[in-house]
Amino acid sequence: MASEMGRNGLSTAGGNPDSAAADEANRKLDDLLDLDKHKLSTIPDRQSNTTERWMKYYGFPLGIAVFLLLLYMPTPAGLTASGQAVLACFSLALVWWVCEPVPTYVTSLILMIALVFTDGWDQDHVLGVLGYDVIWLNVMAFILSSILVKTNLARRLALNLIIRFGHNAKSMLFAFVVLQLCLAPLIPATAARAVMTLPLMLVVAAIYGSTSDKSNNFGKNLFLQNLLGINIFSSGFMTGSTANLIAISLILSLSGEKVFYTDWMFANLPVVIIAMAVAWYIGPKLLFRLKPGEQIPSIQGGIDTLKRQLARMGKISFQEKKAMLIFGLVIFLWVTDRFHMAWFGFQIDAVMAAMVGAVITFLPKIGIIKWNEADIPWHLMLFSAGAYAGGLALDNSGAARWVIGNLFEYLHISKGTNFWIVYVAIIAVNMYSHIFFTSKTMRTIIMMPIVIAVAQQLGFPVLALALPAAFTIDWVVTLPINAKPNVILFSTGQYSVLDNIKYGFIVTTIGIVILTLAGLTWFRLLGITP
Amino acid sequence: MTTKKVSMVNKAIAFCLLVFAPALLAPIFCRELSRYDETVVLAADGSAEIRLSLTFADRTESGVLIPVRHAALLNLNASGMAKGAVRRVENKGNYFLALDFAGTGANPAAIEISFQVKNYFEDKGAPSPFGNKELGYRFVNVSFERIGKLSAKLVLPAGFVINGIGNFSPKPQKSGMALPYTISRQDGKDVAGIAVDNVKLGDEITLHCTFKSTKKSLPLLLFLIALAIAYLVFFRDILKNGKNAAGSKP
Repeated sequence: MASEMGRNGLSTAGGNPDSAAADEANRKLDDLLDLDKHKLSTIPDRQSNTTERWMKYYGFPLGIAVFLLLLYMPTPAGLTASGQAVLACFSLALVWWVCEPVPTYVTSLILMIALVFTDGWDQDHVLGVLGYDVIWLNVMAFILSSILVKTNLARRLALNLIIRFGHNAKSMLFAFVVLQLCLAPLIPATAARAVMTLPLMLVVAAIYGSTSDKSNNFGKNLFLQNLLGINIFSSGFMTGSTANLIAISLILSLSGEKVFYTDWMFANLPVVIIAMAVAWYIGPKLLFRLKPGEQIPSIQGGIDTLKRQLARMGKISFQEKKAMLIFGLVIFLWVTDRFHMAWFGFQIDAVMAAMVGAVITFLPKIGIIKWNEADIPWHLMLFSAGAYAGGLALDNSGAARWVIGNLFEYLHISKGTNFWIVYVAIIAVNMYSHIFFTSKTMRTIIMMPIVIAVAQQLGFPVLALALPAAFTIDWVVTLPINAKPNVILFSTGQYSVLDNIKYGFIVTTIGIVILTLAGLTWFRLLGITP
Repeated sequence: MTTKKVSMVNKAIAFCLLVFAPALLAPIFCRELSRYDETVVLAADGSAEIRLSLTFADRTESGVLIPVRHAALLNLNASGMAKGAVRRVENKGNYFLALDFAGTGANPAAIEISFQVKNYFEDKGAPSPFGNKELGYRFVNVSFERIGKLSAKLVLPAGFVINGIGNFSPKPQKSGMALPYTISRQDGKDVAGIAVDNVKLGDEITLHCTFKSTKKSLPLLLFLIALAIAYLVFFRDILKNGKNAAGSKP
């Protein structure tokens, strides 16, 4: 390495103690940035703390107790036997994912088995989940990520990002907020945005000392904050997700109220920006408090070392250019999806665009990596498949619909109830209901007609309840299975299911508060709420 | 025959068709029903009691044909109709209930019909892996120009629960529209129901579901309790030793 540095003219005279320290710092940085040493596909061996050990020990019987209770109680009215079985299986898995008495991917496999054995969902459907687009996108994401890591392009981009913005953790996290906000209107597919920014997150996290085998609170903040940003910035724009458009069309068809692009953006973009700013502020201060060592790059010599490292990388290599070209092509296909039909006569969706990139990556001579160099965490693909199967079975069996219907019934909303009580109840139920769904579209289809019917029955303006309810659609941040970006980011191993639940529950609760305050002020000013 | 005579004959035929055709079609196509409600109360042996309730919106015809699925109808009974005015008829392999109003002089606005059938659901063949039984409802409107509202309920025998809804029609025309079927419970019995508005001539209403006994597996319960206890006994060392060889964290 020293000779390399010498070639780049960056090393000071030999024998100088400063030079030795600099060499040592570079060596450590190289070690940190060598993601081959922290492969996602390798399952790390780690120690549990006392709380985790207790959760592990009692989580196993607790999961079984919950499962037996739900499966053996008399089937509630309106719920099918298969729906009851799915609820029991999913609850078992949820307890075990949180307490981790067995590894999360084993819990997912147990969930798949349990779904079949209890007649919750049939075997063909359960096994078929491994072929779902979200799993394919996950695999493609890690292949594309591998080329950026392998060619050092991710390292170069991350070093540039950190040198400009990353003097401390807060500004680094803020840079990612801005990055996600800029990408949201350009690339509607949330999963594509997750894939695109994943390599940067991995390298930046490594520079701050957080890797898959030894994550720290910076890593948790970085990945969970990006998870939130990727999801809720879609909520700032009517075209941010298909579910938003379905909500608008349901409002139009069921109530005759038309919502325009600018109505949506003016109303909700400020709300999500404020929510994101609050999450950015409280994340490192309260949720996953950063230790002093995690607030700056964990590199001896700090930013200067990183600058030296960037200089040492020299000019951009041919391989990096190729990686840029391949990744650029995929991004180009993602950004231009609405023109594909006109240009090619067929549509290339986000998964196929990523697959095109992955194929080029493996082509002899043209490509960049060989199969063995692609770092794909297969155990996490199994986790995702099992978790997704559980979520889909909840939808398919009608159990999710039954839970939501009963939740509204339990709230006893009736004529004469104060508007703001109804408003908060609807926002809260819509917000938290995402826990039971893997699909925003399915949730929208189930929830929006209920909200519109409630508004019509109680004699409130439909838009006053339905539009704020629609603004909660993209808040899908509590479980790794709630949306595709969640599956992708969870697969990095930077945070646990419990971390995800903690973060998700707190930020969605903050979201409810902000949407309520917006209802009382901003939405009222815009004429949405009375 | 002169052209004038031919024209006269054609006019006479047309007049006859206009006057008599509705009368000829009357027994087959009643003009409109405002409601058609069907309740199928199933017994554990597979037999069922079927209750039909018809409310006429505008009835001037002399009779009605109502499609039924079964050849053998037991204890056929109709309120407000004379004995023999309701009978089962067959037409090209299809079975109908024929209601003859003309013969009795009755002109009720609503009719209640009940009968029993054997083997409404088959309990034969290879047993399903989870003890599920198949149940289906199908109604094809070949009798009425329009039915304002059609509802059908399948009431399961006590001790059985609906396992899942399979195929059904009509499907919602748009995503977000309510599904036509419901699952509910009446007097402790599970009920699968379907309700459809504005059923036109030729429309098909179907609802397929599976159901099974409410009995649960005792061996599975005991096995899982034993498993939980065994875990607590044999994995006590987890509380002392935090090493997680499996690497549970993804």
